[in-house]
Amino acid sequence: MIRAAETVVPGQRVSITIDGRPVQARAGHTVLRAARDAGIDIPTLCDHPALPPTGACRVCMVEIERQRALQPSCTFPVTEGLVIRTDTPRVLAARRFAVEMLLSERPHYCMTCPVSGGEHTSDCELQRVAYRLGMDRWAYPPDTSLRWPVDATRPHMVMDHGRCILCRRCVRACSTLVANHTLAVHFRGARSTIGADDQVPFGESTCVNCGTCMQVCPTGAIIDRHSAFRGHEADVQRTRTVCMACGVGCPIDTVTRHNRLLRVEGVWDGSTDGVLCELGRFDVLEDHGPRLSRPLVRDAGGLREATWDEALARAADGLRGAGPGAAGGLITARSTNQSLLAFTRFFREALHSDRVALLSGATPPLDLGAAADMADVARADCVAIINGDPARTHKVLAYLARRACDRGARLVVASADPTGLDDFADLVVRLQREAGPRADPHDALRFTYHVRPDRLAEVRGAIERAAQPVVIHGPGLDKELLAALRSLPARTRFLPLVDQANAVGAGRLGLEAAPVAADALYVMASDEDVDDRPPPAAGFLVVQSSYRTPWADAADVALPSKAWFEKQGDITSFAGHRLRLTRPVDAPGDILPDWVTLFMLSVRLGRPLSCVNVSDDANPSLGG
Amino acid sequence: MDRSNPESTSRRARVLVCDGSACGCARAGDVLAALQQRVARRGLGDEVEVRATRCRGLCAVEPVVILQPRGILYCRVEPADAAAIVEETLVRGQVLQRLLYPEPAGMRDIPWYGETPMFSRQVRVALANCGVIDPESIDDYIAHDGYRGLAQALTRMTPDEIVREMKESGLRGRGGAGFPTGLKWELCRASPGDVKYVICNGDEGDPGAFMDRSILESDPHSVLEGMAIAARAIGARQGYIYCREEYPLAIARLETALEQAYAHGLLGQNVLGTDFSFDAEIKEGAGAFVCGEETALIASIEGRRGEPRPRPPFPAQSGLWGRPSNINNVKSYAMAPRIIFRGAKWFSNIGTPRSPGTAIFALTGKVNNTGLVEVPMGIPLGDIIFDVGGGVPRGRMFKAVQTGGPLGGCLPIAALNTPVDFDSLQEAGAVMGSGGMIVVDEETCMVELAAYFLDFAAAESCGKCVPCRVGGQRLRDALRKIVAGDGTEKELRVIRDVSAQMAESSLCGLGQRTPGPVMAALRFFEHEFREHVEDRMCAAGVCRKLVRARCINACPAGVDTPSYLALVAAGRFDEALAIHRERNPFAMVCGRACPAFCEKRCRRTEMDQPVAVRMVKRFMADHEYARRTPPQVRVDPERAKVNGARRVAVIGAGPAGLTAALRLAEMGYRPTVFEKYPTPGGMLAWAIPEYRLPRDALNAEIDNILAAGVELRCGQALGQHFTLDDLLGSMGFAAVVLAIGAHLSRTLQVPGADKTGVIPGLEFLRAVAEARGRPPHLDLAGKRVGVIGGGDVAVDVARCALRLGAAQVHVLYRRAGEHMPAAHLPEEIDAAMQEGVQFHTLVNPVEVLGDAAVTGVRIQRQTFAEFDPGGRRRPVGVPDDVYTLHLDVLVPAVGQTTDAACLGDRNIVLTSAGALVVGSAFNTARPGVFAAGDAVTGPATIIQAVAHGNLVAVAVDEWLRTGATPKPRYVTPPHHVPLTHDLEAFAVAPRHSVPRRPVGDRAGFVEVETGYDEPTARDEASRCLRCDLEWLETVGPCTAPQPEKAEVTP
Repeated sequence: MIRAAETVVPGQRVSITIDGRPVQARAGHTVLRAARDAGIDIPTLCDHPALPPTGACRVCMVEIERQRALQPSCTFPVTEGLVIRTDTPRVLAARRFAVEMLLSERPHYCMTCPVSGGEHTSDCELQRVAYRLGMDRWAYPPDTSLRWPVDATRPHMVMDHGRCILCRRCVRACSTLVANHTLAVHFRGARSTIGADDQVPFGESTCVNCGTCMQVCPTGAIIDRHSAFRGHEADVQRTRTVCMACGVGCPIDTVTRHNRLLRVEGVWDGSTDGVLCELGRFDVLEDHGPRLSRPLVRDAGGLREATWDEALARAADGLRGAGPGAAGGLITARSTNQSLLAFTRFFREALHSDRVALLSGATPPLDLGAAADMADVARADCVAIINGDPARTHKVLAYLARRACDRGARLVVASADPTGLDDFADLVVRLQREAGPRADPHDALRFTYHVRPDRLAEVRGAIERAAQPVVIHGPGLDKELLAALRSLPARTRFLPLVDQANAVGAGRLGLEAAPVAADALYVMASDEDVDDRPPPAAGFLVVQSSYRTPWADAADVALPSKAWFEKQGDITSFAGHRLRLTRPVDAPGDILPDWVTLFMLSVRLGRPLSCVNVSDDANPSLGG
Repeated sequence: MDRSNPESTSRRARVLVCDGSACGCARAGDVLAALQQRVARRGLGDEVEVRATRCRGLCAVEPVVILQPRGILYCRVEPADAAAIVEETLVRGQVLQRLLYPEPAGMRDIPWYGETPMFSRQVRVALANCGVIDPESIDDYIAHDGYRGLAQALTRMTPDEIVREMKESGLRGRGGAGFPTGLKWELCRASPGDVKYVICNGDEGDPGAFMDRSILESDPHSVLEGMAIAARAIGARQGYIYCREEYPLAIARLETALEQAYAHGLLGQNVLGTDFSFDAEIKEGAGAFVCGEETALIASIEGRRGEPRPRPPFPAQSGLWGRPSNINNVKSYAMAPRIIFRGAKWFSNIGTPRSPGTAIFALTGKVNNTGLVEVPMGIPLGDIIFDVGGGVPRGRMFKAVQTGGPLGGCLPIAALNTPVDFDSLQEAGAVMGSGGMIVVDEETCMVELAAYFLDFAAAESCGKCVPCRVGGQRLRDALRKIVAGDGTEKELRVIRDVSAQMAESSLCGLGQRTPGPVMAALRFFEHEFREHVEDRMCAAGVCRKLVRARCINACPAGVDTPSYLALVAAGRFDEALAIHRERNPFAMVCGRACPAFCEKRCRRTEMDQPVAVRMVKRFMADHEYARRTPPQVRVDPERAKVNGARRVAVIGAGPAGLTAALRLAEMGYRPTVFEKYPTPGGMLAWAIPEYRLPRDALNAEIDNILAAGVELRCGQALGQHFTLDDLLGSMGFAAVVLAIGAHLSRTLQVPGADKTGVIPGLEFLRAVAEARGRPPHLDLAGKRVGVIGGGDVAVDVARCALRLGAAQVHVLYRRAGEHMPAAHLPEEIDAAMQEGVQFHTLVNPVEVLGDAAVTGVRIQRQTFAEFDPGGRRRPVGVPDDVYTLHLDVLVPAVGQTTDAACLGDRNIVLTSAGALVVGSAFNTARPGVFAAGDAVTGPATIIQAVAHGNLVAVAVDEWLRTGATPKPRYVTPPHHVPLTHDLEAFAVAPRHSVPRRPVGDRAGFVEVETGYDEPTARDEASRCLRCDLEWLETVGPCTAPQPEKAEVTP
């Protein structure tokens, strides 16, 4: 029955009773949340803390006084004086029924497999709930009249409709978290299935392979090709760290077993609400080629394995041989702040050289105004993208921008090339590209971008009209554009589109991408992907790399380096936050931390670095 | 606004042609064109307006034409009738009889529109303008008080006053749930927010319900006006009409109405010059049933998948785009302007206090008047079906009515007196719902019907919540199994469990109400479910797998009719008769006196007339008798070795007793039949007059039975010559079958019933039978005879009385003719009438007149009151409407009961109806004592007694062998007789009439019916459509009832 509209002040404290216990709750919270806050666990299937409740599975049903029917606790809002029972026979019968129905709907044979799992050991939420409710047989035998297909058309994920319970978590994740709207329920009634777009195979759909659906799936309906067969939740370790795939710096949980990375999951209460992108979730699990795990030195016959001593001695000789100030260094912006600092100090103190630059990437100006963070993007009423395509380079940022659009925010795109967000934009302005004076190996540095004044005014106008605008900007903007951005109202917040994970940290150390001409060159490439670029030319080349890349093959001395998931330290996200990296796996062989390599090299050069800390942890002295 | 529509008043006459969607299908457009052309050609264009109008609800007899101002109603009009209508009716003023509405019950032609019972019981509020105004003319609407409610609401009422008026009217939401409309408006009005919406729910999805469509098509402005009033009341300025795209005409009419309303300033900015502004637009739904649910409807308007969401929050708090929204049904909005204009009091005076106003139903199914009806709330359910609806066609028995569409529930005969309103229907176990009302008769299987509705609801489940999505499938599985004859107790349990849980925890009304029909069916018709599960039987003859042929299914004894018809057609009469005798030894008797249930279900009826099964049967039996070839004895020698020592006593040599004895003899037992009277045959011998059943034929069949090894002892009466204890003790019988019939005549309970000249019906017939002609003490020559009752006995007495020379014979029956129990043999009543029997119906004797002897009877006319538990209206006397009928003899034939006194066993008791109480194996309270026939059923038919005889023999056998008393099944192998003639040759082959002696040639007790000759019989038998072969083809021999599965073998 409709009750007179009560004026509910969200957040107001209300007193309710759950299972006879007086409980304090907040108005506007659901009964489920109030119960959980009070330590009363109500089983659920379709509910997920990161997703809006939908009330579909009917497992969390509770009895509420003065309500004729049982109510789903996941959607029922608490109000003063509510009296709730979560454990009556009526409630348990309804709960059991819902699970019995699910078990009968599709071939969920796990319950008859005596070794499949248990209430506390299974990774399948359906199975766990079934065990919890004491289910020990099929009340209704599984329906064999319908056959459920498996869709394996995507590179990383497999969808087995036979295991789907139609909780729609994936649909909600796809629409409300990722704002991609690929997934939907197709058909109706018993024929309902999760489908992509206009019922096309997932691999041919608009799916962006972010894997958020997989992470919320309560059963094995959406599984990951990489981590299948590799252990259950009870057998794995979890380490919270930061994704280094791009400058966003998404917090992640890495899942490892036997020092092996099994999968990467988003963190629901993190800055990006648990959303990851294909690169962050899956790319890191791909095979990146053979590791460089021992130092190599070049002989007449080519590169051969050497001891650290020999390799460091050869490197020191080569660098020293260039003469004071003639050695140059290139470092990847995927390095930790600690490594970056050690690298600059190494050149300054050990080689008296200031010829240090970033390996790649153009860093936009970081001083246009107040820095935005991801939460600002999600709640912005206008998102303007000036030169760049986050949908390609900063996917999670693009998802959040589209989420803002779904909520009604205006999206402005100013870019030289079509972007992945043009279709969603309220205003699209094409920038003109002009080749700059610098002949540079890095494409990004070669061009400046400008725009016709009238179009610029349009862009400005759209931003100025907004109450909470966020400007996402790339490098290479011309003076007029920069001036226009600088003159935006103070409420405007800015996010720079940087190429590499720690480009902002590097920028703060004064490092930027630039050509370095030197007789002897020390390239700290780490795990940056350099495959499609020619190795830099130098009389003597030291390459420190995680993988056996063409660059390492071209070096006179190749030193091994940790990959990002083996590193400790911190990086600075594009929003300017210092984020802590915690190593989920140990590096193979005897790979040393970058700064240790640098220190040992400095010792061989006779000028040991001033700050020494043998700990691999963030070094306060080095970190400054 | 005054009634100034020059269009409609300046002409002398108006011819209204219904062109609703149903009439449109029936070529109403052609009729309209023909009439217009004819009127123009006759030069009447200035005087007569011919125009299309909208549905009047008489969809069963469309196209319908109404001629105003006289209100003449013509039905089933064809374009060719246009000339006659113009020339005869419009020009000369003559009513065309052939086009009048035939009242189904009274077969009376009704010329005037308002007089049809369908309309006289109706009160039209929401449908007031439907069929009256031109739906495409806003002027016409305004001329019929249109927009006066809105004008009043805007100029003379505050929003609070509008809400108050609606609350006072008591209007409850016509979408089905019956939530008070005024309160709904008040809640939405009270919800905080600047932007609010009014939404009209026109997503009418119930199969068979089309009232919303009719209103939108016939009177679209009323809905717009209602929405505008609601908008004013709650503070909205935008409205949406959600109409399903399957209603293209409704959408087109709405579009026209919207245009006109905007053009007249009744929508848009500053309506009627006030500060109220209101815009409305149409949203087309894509046909999902669930979108009738308000939150799903909102989702659909928002462009999302039409799925419901949990409430709270309710739409009144957070609806369309999160704003407070008011959703009402088309009917509710259509009623609102009338309530505002005519006042809450006017509305609340209609209907009942808790459900004021009218209810609109779409009456469909097995009812004569199908169509839309609007009746005051509180009208008894039976009145809608039998008065407004005109009852069940073809004289079939009403069985149930499904209200509330596919999510509603059925109500049985016992609920016919239920007042139709929200609360009473719910109490009775059904719902008002959207107003679908589907009448079903005896030929509808309630299990199959429930399965049908469930299929619909399950297919329309959106699939969001688990109980509805999966529960519907599990219910469906269980029902499908039962319908296919594979059901067990487990399926019944699944239905109960799943239904309860679906109702308990589904998200929206669709899921909660999906089990409604099956739950109601199981509640009121559990016996039908049990029949399917336990007996593998579908009495209605619907469930394909369980019904080999409808005639076999309809026969109480399950005689394999198509097989013996086929053999007769092939000229193999002896084989045919042998098949008949497997299940019924009385072919000659039943060939003369069987009500032939088989013929009533014959599928040939759909083509022309049923096969004359009884006459074919008579022929084959007479054929054998004429050649004096005794039938083969079917005693099983193997079983005789085992059972031969056991003796079974059968008390009563009627059809039940003799059949039981025959079957026991065939199983090898030694049965002895004890008969109180000197001659065997029971009721066959002396309750069926010889002009219907000659004694020789009967005796020949009894002789056949005795030839199988049945011992017969006549003149031996239980309780007089021996007792039950004797039988089971000293007389050495192992078991006893009581087939003692129902021979006690009920007495007439009126003053003077004991006077001389009052002769109980059975006594009368016995006397006639014993005398084999005129009993000396019953000289009726020149006398006036009255017979009270409407059963077979009454009709037999009446016809005998004429044969005994009575001058007048009056049959007095308290109900209507079609209610007479004897009506199951209509030819008997016809013959009686031909012979001169006078039937008086709706009369009841109140006193027998005379000093010592009867001189007459005082008779009170009867009228109908409420429905009795049998589904017939209870007759009650009309006060002071009493008259006298002078009579010399009065024969009450008002029913019989069983005489249990002869049993001498207090444990064997009678039911309140006067029949013996037995278990499902015909077992009485005393072990070893069984009962069958009329003694158990009360007075019934020969074939029912035979069926009992078959079954009780199986039960006795089982008990003797095992001591157990399971429900018996009498199983014989199905015969597969191939088709030997060209059935196509009988595509056009009317039924051969039953040859009868002319009335003038019926002196004495000579048999009235004469039989078919051989060519006629073979020809008639060839008309059989052989449903059994089709069954064999579709169901297959492997799934045919396997004899070894159930046959009782030692």
